[in-house]
Amino acid sequence: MLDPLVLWLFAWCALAVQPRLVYLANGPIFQVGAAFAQRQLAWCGGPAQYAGAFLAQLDHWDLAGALIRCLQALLIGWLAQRAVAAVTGRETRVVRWLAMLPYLLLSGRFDANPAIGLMAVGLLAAAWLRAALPRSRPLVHAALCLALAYTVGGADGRAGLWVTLASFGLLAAVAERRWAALAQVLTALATAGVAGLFLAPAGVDAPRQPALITQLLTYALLLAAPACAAAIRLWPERAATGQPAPSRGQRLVLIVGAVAVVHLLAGLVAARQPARLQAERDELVLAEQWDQVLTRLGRQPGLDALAIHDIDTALAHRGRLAEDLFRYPQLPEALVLPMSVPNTFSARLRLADQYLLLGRPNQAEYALQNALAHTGDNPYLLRRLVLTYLVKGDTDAARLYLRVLRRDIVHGGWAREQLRRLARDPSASFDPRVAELRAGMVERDDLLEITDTAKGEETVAYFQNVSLSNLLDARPGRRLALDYLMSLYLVNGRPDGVVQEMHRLRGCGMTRIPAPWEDALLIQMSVPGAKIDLHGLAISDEGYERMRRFGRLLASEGGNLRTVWPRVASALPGTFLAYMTRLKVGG
Amino acid sequence: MNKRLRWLLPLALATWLLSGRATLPRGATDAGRAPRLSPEYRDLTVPPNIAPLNVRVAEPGRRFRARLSGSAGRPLVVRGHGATLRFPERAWHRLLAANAGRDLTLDVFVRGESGWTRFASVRNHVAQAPVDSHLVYRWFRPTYTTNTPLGLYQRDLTGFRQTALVRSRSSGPRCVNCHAFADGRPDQFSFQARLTKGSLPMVLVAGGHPRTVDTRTQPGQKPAALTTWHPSGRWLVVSRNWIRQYFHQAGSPGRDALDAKSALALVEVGSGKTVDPPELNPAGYMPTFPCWSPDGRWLYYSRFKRFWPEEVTMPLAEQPRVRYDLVRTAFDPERAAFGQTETVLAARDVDRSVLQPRVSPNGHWLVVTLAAYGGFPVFCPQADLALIDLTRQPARAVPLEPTATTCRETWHAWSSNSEWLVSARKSDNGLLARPYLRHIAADGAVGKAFVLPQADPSYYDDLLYTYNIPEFVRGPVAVPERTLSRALGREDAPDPAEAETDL
Repeated sequence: MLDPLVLWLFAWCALAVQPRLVYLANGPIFQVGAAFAQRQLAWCGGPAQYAGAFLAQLDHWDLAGALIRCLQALLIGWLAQRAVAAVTGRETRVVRWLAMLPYLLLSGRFDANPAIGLMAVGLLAAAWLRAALPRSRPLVHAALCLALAYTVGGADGRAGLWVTLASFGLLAAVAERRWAALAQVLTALATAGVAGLFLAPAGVDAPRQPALITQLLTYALLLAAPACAAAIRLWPERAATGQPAPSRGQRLVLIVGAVAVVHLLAGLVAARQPARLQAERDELVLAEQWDQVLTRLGRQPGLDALAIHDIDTALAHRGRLAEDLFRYPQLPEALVLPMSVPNTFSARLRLADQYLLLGRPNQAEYALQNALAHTGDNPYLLRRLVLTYLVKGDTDAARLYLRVLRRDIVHGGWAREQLRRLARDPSASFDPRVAELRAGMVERDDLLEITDTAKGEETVAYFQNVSLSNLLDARPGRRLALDYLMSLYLVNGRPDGVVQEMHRLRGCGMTRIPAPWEDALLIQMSVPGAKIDLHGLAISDEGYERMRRFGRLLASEGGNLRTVWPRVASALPGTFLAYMTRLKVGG
Repeated sequence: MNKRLRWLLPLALATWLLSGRATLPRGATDAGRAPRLSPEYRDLTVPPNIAPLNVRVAEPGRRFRARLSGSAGRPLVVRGHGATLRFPERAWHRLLAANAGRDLTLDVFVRGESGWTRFASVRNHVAQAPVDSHLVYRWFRPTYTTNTPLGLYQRDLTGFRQTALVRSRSSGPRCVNCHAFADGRPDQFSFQARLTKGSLPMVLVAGGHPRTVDTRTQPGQKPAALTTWHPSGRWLVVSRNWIRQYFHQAGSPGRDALDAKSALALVEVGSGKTVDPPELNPAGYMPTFPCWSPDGRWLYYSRFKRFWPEEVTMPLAEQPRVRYDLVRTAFDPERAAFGQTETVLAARDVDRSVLQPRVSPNGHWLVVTLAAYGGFPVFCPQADLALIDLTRQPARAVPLEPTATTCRETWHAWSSNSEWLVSARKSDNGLLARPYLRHIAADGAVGKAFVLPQADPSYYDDLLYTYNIPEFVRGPVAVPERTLSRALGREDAPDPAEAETDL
């Protein structure tokens, strides 16, 4: 009969955790073929890492990911019960649940090692096997220690290796007499020390930095079985006490209670993980569900620059950037991300998309190549790189990355199809997105400097507005570039820039001025002696009315922006006037 | 039963062994053309000690066989692993040794829907002169300003084994670059390192023992970069390059680099003493890519006269007009003094930037990279190798590839017998360089370039690593990686004066 906890785990994973988001945020690289396998299996812990990476690919499909987790949980519980029974000579059912509990909780963690379930399975299977073999045989024990260290021990780094071997040593020691028990533990620890020399060198894979709670749960999972075994050995009478079997009602209450407690714990452990929130946003961006982006993020308070960038991108894709920019929260650095954004998957993906959208595939390539050096061959970044090279017309380079992607379980089919299409049509004209991005690509070869700052971060000695102006000079009808250019001036609190660029509106076929631009023009008009050329366009009556209301509010506070700011925010919400006031008061 | 087993087991074993030996199909129909192969190993001149040229047959079919034969030696018949033809190493080397100076013929058979097809023979020539046994190169993922796994690796050219000499780690060297060998000796070489805490030492290995040298003689000076060993092994000439990276907003490749300043320095190997000789660094000139002549009496290098004010550190707009000349300066080994400088090949004569001079060990030939502009041909959209006959005056650069399209080929090096040239070539994918070998005959006849063979002929298809500065070495470098890492570990100390750009 299936454990109720396992059934709960399936439902929890499939519906609440959603393994596809874990795949997006924490999915390890896996490639079909001997080269990848050889590379992985050459290190201590490589087999578990390799198998864990393979199983983690199934997370791409929620139900498959949930099923894999359930199977591993079942195996962990069953093996823990068998191993503990073998070393203590007592069958105790609660061991199964206690051993499974940390794994159940880890299933909701987005920063958990994908190989951790396999590590526990390997450890418990080895312990069970050890118990079945003749005791006090040092060579047998040492051989099992080595096998355990190689297959699973190093899959979670040096600390994981020590904990795994210590756990194995302790389990083996439970069944032994005093000196033999000490020898078992020492042999296991010595093996960990030796095997530690053969861990994968840092830098081969992106280092994992899990949260403290994830690390604690990982070690709890690895140490659960020896803890149970030790407890049974220390208090055998409690384990042996024959309690009367609970009634059906009592059992139901126990099961419901246990599930409720686990649910509560899992909720606490899994709640509000930044990686999960980011993965949800990444999923929307990758699927280009721009309306969803606006709906979900528009309501959230305290958004960071990357989230605001998502909103702005969604507005741009929906053609609402000019009109609705200030209906959502804004930050000066969010609209056009600087090159110095963190070298993470999420940030670099957006950076690349931004540059592709703004006609600068060389900068997109730069952002992606740098990200790959940190994230490994992340398939989503590789797909963007393929797109970038296709936009640039570098078909051979695109093919190279497609051949890498061909080995990916999830994205391999797409890559093979792209390769087939490219063989028929090397210009990639079959892809409307490529054609669209090419149409907006910059043609003038401006040179751009990349320098290191003293902190080692890269900066771009280039003004984005100059870059956008150049793009518009080459393609005067590119409305998207104009929207970005004007918006960039506005979010940086520079209404004078809008005045400078007014001559471009006709070229983009615009017959009316968007409301935020009107606000900027009116602010500039209020400067004594200012002469503003509207290039045949007119400011609407609503624009003048907004300015008058703003003027009245300002006058009522004696021109003090700091005191008038709350009133402007409530009277003129979602306007450039409110944003500009906030910017001036430093809010 | 036991008696039967005694006979049956050897019989089964013999049957199994015999069935493993490939035989050629009979009654195959003629395709009337040569097969498509990947890599394109045909019409080549190959060294007699090169690793097997394993290939993939790019023809549709279910079963593949091939016969490799020469006028001497026992022919090799192999069965394809899918479409991949792998030649057993020992038999391959026996066949090549027997046919040195002669042709080898590859006959490919493919079984399709309508039976076996025999393709026209593919011929390659085996040269008499062997290639040096090892190749050392920098191997890394393309990166811009962030750290990436990279290292110096050596490859046994007679087989397929690649081993690391020194790798970047999270602790230890952050970057290793610009390796150079003294006369192809595996026990005497140098490379530069940038360490985690900021030190920038040069590692000098002499007699297999590494030590570190700080090549900077004054604050703010750049450390050594491109290096050439004097044939006597007593001196090095190194370049100091103030490298700046920049990007093209349109066109490919996107990234590029320039030298804001550069200089050449002389390093005495014994003492580590470094000087910047004024003869090599006249005011206003920017020298780089040094290379000694084999007699040690001339230093060849590229240089150009700066045409922007010295205080401009990022002369972006001027880059398309930057062209380096090839010059040489006399050197007196007795006095360790430099003399007169003369132009060997002026940039204006070829309308190209003349870079990366490498003189053949016999002193007869010089190969340069002709780039469209600037001093970084590795990022240049047009960069090709050209051969100069040093026995003739005036110098004339003859392109190694007669094709009109660029091969984007750089970082070439000569084998110790002056018969083989290796280079890093980006023509396959436009992005990542692969090592190509080619034969240069005594009369200057240039063989067709071929990519370094790998055990799996599809190896390069999805390899995201690039090869940089391939150098021939006459034997395996025996210094263990941990010895080099330990030498660097001792050196690692914070150096706040430096903020480097990785290239």
